[in-house]
Amino acid sequence: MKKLIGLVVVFMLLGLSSVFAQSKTVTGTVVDLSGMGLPGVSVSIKGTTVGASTDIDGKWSLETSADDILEFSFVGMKTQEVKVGNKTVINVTLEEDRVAVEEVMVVGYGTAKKSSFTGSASVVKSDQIKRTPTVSLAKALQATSPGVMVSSSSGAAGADATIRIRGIGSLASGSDPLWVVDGVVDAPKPHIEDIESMTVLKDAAAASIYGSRAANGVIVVSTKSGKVGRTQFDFQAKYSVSNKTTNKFKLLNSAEFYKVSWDGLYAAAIKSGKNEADAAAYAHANLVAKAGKNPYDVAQPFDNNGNLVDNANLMLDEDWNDLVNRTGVTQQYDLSAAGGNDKTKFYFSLGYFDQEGIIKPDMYSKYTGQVNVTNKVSEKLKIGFRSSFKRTSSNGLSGTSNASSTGYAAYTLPNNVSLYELDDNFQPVKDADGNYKYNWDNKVSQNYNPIGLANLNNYYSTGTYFFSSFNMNFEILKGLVFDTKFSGRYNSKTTNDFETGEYGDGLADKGRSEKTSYESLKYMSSSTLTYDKTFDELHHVNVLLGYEFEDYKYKYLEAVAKEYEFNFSDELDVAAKPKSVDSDTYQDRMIGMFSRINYDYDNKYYLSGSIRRDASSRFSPDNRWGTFWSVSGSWRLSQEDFIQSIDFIDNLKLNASYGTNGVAGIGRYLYMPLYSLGGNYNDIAGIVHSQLSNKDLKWEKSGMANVGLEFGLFGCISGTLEWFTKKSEDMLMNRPLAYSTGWNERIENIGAMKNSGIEFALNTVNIKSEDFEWTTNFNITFSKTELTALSQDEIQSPDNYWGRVWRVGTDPYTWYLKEWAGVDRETGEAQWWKDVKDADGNVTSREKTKDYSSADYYELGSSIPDFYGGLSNTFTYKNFTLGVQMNYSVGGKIYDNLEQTTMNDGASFGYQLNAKVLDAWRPDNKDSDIPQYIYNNTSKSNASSSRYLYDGSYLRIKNISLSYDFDKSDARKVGLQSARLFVNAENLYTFTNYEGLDPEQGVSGRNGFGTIPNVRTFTFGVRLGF
Amino acid sequence: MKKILIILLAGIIFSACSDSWLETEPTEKISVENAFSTEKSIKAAVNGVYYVMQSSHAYGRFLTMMQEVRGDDMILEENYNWRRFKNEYNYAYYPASSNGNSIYLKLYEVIEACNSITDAEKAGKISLPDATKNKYLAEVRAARALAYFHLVRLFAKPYILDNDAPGVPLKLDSDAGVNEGRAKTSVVYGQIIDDLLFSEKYITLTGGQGGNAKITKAFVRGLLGRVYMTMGNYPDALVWTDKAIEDAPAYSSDYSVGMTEGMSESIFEIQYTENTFLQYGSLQSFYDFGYLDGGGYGTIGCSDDFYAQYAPNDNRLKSWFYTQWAYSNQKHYYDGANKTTFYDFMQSAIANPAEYVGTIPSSITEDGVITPEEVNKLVRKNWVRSGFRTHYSLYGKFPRKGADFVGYTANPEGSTGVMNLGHVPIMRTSELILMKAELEHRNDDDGKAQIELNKIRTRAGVATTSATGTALLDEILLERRKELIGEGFRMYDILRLQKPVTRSNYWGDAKYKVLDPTNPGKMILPIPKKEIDANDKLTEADQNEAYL
Repeated sequence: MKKLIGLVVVFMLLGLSSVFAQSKTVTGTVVDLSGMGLPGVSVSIKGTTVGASTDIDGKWSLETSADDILEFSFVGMKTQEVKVGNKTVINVTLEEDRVAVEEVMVVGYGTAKKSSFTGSASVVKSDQIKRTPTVSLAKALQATSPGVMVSSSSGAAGADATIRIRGIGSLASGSDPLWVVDGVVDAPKPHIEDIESMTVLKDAAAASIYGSRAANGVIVVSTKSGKVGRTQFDFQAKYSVSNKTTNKFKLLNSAEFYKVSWDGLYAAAIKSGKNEADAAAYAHANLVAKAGKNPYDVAQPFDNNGNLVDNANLMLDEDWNDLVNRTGVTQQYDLSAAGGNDKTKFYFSLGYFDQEGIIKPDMYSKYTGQVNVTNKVSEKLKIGFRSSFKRTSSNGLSGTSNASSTGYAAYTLPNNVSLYELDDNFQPVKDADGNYKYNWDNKVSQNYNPIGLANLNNYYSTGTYFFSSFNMNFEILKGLVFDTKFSGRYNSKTTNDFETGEYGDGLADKGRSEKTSYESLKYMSSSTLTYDKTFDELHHVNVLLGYEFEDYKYKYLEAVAKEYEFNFSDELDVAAKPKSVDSDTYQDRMIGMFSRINYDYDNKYYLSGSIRRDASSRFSPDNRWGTFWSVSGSWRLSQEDFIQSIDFIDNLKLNASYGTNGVAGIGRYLYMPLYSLGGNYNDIAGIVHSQLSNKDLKWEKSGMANVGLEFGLFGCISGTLEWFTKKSEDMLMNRPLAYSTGWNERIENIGAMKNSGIEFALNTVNIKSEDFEWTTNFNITFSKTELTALSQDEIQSPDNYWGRVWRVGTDPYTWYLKEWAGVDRETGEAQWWKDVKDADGNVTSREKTKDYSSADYYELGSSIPDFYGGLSNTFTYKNFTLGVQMNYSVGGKIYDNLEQTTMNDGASFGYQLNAKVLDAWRPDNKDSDIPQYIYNNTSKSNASSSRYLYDGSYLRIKNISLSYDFDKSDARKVGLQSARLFVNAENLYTFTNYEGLDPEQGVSGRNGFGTIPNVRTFTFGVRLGF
Repeated sequence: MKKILIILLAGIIFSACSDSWLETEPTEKISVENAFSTEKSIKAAVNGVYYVMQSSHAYGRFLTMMQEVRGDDMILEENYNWRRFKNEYNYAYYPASSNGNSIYLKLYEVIEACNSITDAEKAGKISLPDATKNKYLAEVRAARALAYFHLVRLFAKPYILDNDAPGVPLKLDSDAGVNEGRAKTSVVYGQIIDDLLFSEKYITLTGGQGGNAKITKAFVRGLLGRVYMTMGNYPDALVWTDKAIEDAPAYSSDYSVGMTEGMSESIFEIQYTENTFLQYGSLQSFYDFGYLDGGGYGTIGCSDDFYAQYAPNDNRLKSWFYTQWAYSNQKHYYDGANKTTFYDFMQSAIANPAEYVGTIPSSITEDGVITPEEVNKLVRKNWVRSGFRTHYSLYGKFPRKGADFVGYTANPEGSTGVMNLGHVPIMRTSELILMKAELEHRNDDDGKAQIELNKIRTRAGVATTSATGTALLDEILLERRKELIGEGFRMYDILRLQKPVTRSNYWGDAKYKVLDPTNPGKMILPIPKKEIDANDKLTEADQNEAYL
């Protein structure tokens, strides 16, 4: 009311002044930030209806007087006011109205003002994403938001990361969040440069509108749109180099390896009852046969005491880690154009990305393109078209634990295995063509030389992805809008694997070529009707009704041919014989109907409710439909008078919600009892009972409660504090069946699980002055997962090989292993713990045992961290911006498979060894917790146990970025609108006690060998606007 | 315009709004209703039973390997074996982890495949004339009996030691919701005999060429003989063995053909083709040390000591263990500096041993000393061994299919055949003859027993016997080991015969050097932990003694 009176007074004064003022003609030009004239800008004398609008070049002229205030306004731009005074020429530069952009967030089926949003969500803007050198959206989200655990366990080219939002949502149906791109569910993830923002919908209220697919959270991505004004071009070039992150993991050199091997043989002979002289003779005689090539220039490099003889010279020390590692190089180029007028806006982009991984021959490259166009057909009808294109290619078999994998070779081949065949003088041997001959002889995997194979074999794949979405938006009545989208997604991928017949895997088939191809087509339609109205200026209602359906079809084709006489071609018809063929087709469909009602009163109290019904072809007709709903509310305390009187509180908002969601990531046709065709015997057709019926299969459901507090204090501190608890019920799990039924397991709705946690995020502006600004963002999440129901007391998880058990009351990622009890200091033998039981079978105490098979299993902690989060600091000084981003994870336990392989105590004699083995137990080194290294060790000391289980806590300097923005005036001098130079370092340093390759391993907590760990990357780049 | 637009949109939206739109069908599978509808589909379903049997974890490899590697005639290679079956060799398995677990599951999968057909019959889903129907049911029930016969011998105490002991769960229907506890051994055997007698009555397939890929009358009869013999019921065993021999193919006149391509005397074997073979997962792969040419693993073979039990002129030595042919096909032998074919290497080493003192790895002698005499000895020894390995390969007995293999008369320039492809014998006439020999002796007719034993001996080209009494039995049992080596009989025989044995050339955990079947312990496999956990009729206390 006060405002209104003020306005009237101003109005009256202005009216009066205009009567007395001298009138004159004022002219000028309105330009945008790029300096281009803006047509159609309204120029009016404030408080009157008198005005003009700019012409095509942004020019205007108007009769006015000195006391007038001119108002320049334009959709999407900040309105400017200029007092006329004695000026006759007034040039104005309009800026985009960024404030408006920031206050609105993209949520499910629409947008919401941040202040009115009742759910829990984190928004990540393109500015934050731009800092990371990756093109993986998942990796870009790392450490940015509380409740979002992003684990990047692979540094392979093009590798993605896993995202877990608020714990583990499901066991059998996947825990990956749902991606929604520009309103289309499960659309392909766009190129990182095309992204405007990402919103992570975390609680049930925010996600529930996506119903059956939202239990693991939803990530809503929106791509960039065109902007009114002169077309702006943006070009970026990035160049990165990567190498290994330093780690404490060390391997033996060939001198050490050979010595340890001799000792191992000697120890085995002594153990078998030989005297010292015979044992030495045995070790001398067997060394080459068991440990591989003698790297010394004398036939017997050790004396009878195992000491190196004086005249022995080490001739061979091939470091396979060095051989397979290289400096990875990544190049990325992006060009985009955005522009438009008040009717049509567009955004085009082209991108190229090429990455050579740090392990040969790992490679990934992609081309991307994006077209976003919107058009206002009339005041009521808008249409839009978004389309993206991606073509990827990759090459290499480097990140698998396969004997032909270079990554595997790096950790298994000892240094006395040479890359090339050597002559008696340790000189590489050349073939007839003058090329060095690869060495195929080793004790780890005979006939394999991964570098040699990388030159002969091919593992090449390409992918092509098209996505288009057509959108129509029609305002039927004032406030009533109909919106429909129809989109299609086409993916196709081909792989070409060629394996030479001379060595390696291809030997078995005398050379083999395998070609696979799949394509999938998905089309989706989604329509909504929205009604938005404010009554009496206090009651605001927004009602949404929607309907959607989708159809997905997948086709797969594979053909393999064998017996390749030559390596010239991998075409199938070149082979002497066909080997096998395979094809598969499947389809699924779903329908969803949904509705949401938002109501708010006086911008203080907000209520929201949603309901959704989904049906999927994956379930039997009786259980096809599932209903999911949510209610939520928020109270903006800071709008209340009693809070407004407190000066230091800028914003205070309380949110609460409860809702249910589902998980649909289950297999197809699972409810049907089925017989498989193709159970052939002796080339006669057969059919086999392949699936038990399970008509009761239904939607997995989770219910989540969320309470959150959002605050802003002193104008420089803001943040959120949230508590959530999520109960997943009817979880699909494989119920283990008694083997004697002839079945291993059957998928049923039997499990229940609870995730709960607290998330806290704090953003502060620590210093803000004219030239310098320092801001800090910190977030932390405490989260706990617990199984609350199972089909039976205990389930050895499907991958029991890796030591898991599921039990009610425990975390499903609990390690369940035999517990290591150290080394017997007298004998050097391995020991484990076992329970001591009384006559009734009750455990009374425990004791050490040397018999692995009699040791007991114990629960030994979980691979899920107790808490995790991120901390980032941004410093801006004049044109410089420095960002330091860290992430941390505390409490998860990692099983180090690499150490298990490299510390096998002689069970895999001839394999490369961890440097820790140098400190293994020996008669002269009894104070060691590493068992004696002994040839053909059968003690099972290297079998799965807590010996290889470590605390995986870490704090990592994820990213440091420094950029310099040239002054616009300087940029213009060279014809540019803007220019930025930047450098950045990723994974610069990690603080951890973990001694394996990389403590960042995700929920599975397994540090496999052969995988390429995260890499350290330095990036240099330039971004130009013109 | 507006109206048209709205109608158009409404059309798009609701076009898909019907439940039937959500019906999708798999393309590689059919529903239960279609599985038994015609004779063609019944035939395919019965063929599906063999499909399960041929898996690597059943007859493809595991059943045979499990019996041989735990016994006394064969040894596991220390090197290059990729550590497969090491836990079995050393008896280091336990209820949560044992290759026996996958055998257990796979055999019950065979039983389930059979049960789903017998259930369909009970439910009246098979509408065929009785004779036709019973013909298929006969095959199915024999397959079920065979699976139970393996299970009860692998996972329960030997019948001959304690027929009142817990056997295995006796599941005779395909209702996965109902579990069975461990039936007594005698009850399991009762069911096996019941199934086999039904089968014997209705089976129409007879043996001979081509028939040996499937269960035939001769096989069912022979299996009845085997079962009764295992139970210690020698008179009935002899009756059925005799009947089986009547129906069985005549035993081969020589050993010139391995087991790969269907010996003429084969009664039942699991057959593989280029489309179905198991590659490295096959039994052949574990016998064929072909790693120089990408062939098999060569994990297991005859021990030195048992090899020495064969007379030097035994035809089996020349045909089954004679691997000169195999080496000639291997690409090369690499002595550290030069590459040569193994065949050439052997030839020249024998001709001039002194030159080869340095090229033979000294590690293959205990003292590491090599002299020209030693070279000659070693080369000859290794000529038949799998290279410089610790065992004698059975490659000749289980050669690659399609190999140009004509036994000891082979021309070393043969073709290599298809690596790791070969059939797995389940029963052949020679076994019946040896069974008859043993049973005649046990029924106190040593004269007839000698005749049978001498048939085998004559074919092997070794001296016939005139021994009687225990000496004769010992000869019969030794002949049985020699003849059936590698075919997966040994462990069952040790348990049946209840006599302790010492494992020759055994290199593993000393505890298992001597095997005493009177106190079998870990010679009986553990009931899988998953079975005990998931079966509501079983508790921890139902586990076999050695694992409690």
